[in-house]
Amino acid sequence: MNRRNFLMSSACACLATATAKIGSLLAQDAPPVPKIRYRCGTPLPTPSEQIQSRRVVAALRAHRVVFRGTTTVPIRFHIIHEGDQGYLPDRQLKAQVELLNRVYEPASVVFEIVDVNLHENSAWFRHEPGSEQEIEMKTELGKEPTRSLNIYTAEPGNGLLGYATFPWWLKDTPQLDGVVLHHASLPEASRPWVDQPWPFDLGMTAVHEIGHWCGLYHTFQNGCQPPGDDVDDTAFEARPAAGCPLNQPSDCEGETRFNPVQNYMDYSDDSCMKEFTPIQYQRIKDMLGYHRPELNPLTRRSALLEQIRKSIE
Amino acid sequence: MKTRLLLLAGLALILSANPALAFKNIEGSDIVTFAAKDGPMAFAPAQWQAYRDAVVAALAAYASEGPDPRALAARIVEAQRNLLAALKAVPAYQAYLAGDDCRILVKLDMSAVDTLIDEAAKSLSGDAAKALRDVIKVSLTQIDNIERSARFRSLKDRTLFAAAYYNFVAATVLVLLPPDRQGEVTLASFGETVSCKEAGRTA
Repeated sequence: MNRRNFLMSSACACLATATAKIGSLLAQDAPPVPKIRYRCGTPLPTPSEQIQSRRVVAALRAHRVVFRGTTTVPIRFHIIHEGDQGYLPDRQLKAQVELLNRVYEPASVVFEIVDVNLHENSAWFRHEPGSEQEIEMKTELGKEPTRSLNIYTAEPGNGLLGYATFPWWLKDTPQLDGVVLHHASLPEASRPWVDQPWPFDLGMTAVHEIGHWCGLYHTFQNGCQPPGDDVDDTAFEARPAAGCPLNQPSDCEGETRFNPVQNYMDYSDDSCMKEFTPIQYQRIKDMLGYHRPELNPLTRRSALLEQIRKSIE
Repeated sequence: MKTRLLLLAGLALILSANPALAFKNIEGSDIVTFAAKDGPMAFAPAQWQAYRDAVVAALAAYASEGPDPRALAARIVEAQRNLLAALKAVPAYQAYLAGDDCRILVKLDMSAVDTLIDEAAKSLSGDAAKALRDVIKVSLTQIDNIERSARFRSLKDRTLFAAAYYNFVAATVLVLLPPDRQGEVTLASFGETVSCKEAGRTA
């Protein structure tokens, strides 16, 4: 199937699933009390998709939508390797998924490995984000993006540990959906470069990138400028953290909280990363429920969600 | 020996046109720096003209060949590499890379960039101006998307990665400015710069 047909068929699939009746998943709940945001400096122009994602959250709250039930995410691992480089045994994949399940449990998200495939391809192994190689790799290997998470492990280079797609990109570019991880970022990795420090081998890159896949921004998104990362219970952070600088006051004027260096969505060392905040967990539920409804039987055929989509898109 | 040289030249051509490298070129900073009036190195006028001709031809071909921003960017990057090829062979280039004159753009001043693009577009046909805006838009959208969704080992890695996109944009816009403006516009005209040493740029 070529890319255009793939796009068309995926778009049709999305439309088809959006017309059924409302299920019992959507219950009434009181909207949360708005919190005061810390402000500093002049706001920069906000990207339109950030505005759109705020409209989604606002509409969900206005309709008192609460996503219930378990979201099950089938994972398809695509292990890209170059000879022995990049090869990953099953125990590492299992350890990674166990970690994901521990971290995402408060959002009622469960990950399951459904497919693991090995692919020897040097160009894909060393691809860069945005390159022809990325598009080719994902178009050839990616499967069922609306119903599963495609994880590609490779060695992207340039200091990249991983990158992901946001859930609101799924509709327009389903063939690119998924997460790319540096193969040495998974737990229990055997380090190919023992002479260099590598504090990124506890599996937190997958936690971080899947956070993006679920709609979370970096904690330092927009720096000190509102709306920051669109999450009220993370402190404004001027720049990414390095290492694990605990208890550091934020450089943002008016921000009284410490930099959120232990948050999974910062750039700290793996051993430093320990938490998502309650509102981040709420956002994960909202974004998965709204943009990836196929993952939960209760959101799959929601007339209310379809009505909300029609009203804001 | 001749065969080996031909093979190497072929490989260099393939790498220079590699679509993986589209939309970004850290060496764009060298082009802007050397084109300035008091630049540490200078291009031969014929080479500079050839670079301009190549970029204008690529922009002109855009509408009829797709339009494909990735292919356009790859052609521009190739033209930029061809322009620098002669200077990079000179020992002074290595000294420049290691010295204080070597700087890269690490943040764009979008208001200034928009003004420079408008200035450059004046000398182009409507289609070519659209091509210029398209390729820049795709380049900046791509790095914006990557920056928002990627985890890098460090801020330094992230900054250097993004700089490749910004300096590609700067070198593309500069050559399309009126000739009397090209010597006046510096890297700093496009935004914030840091030294190559500080940024960790080694090549």
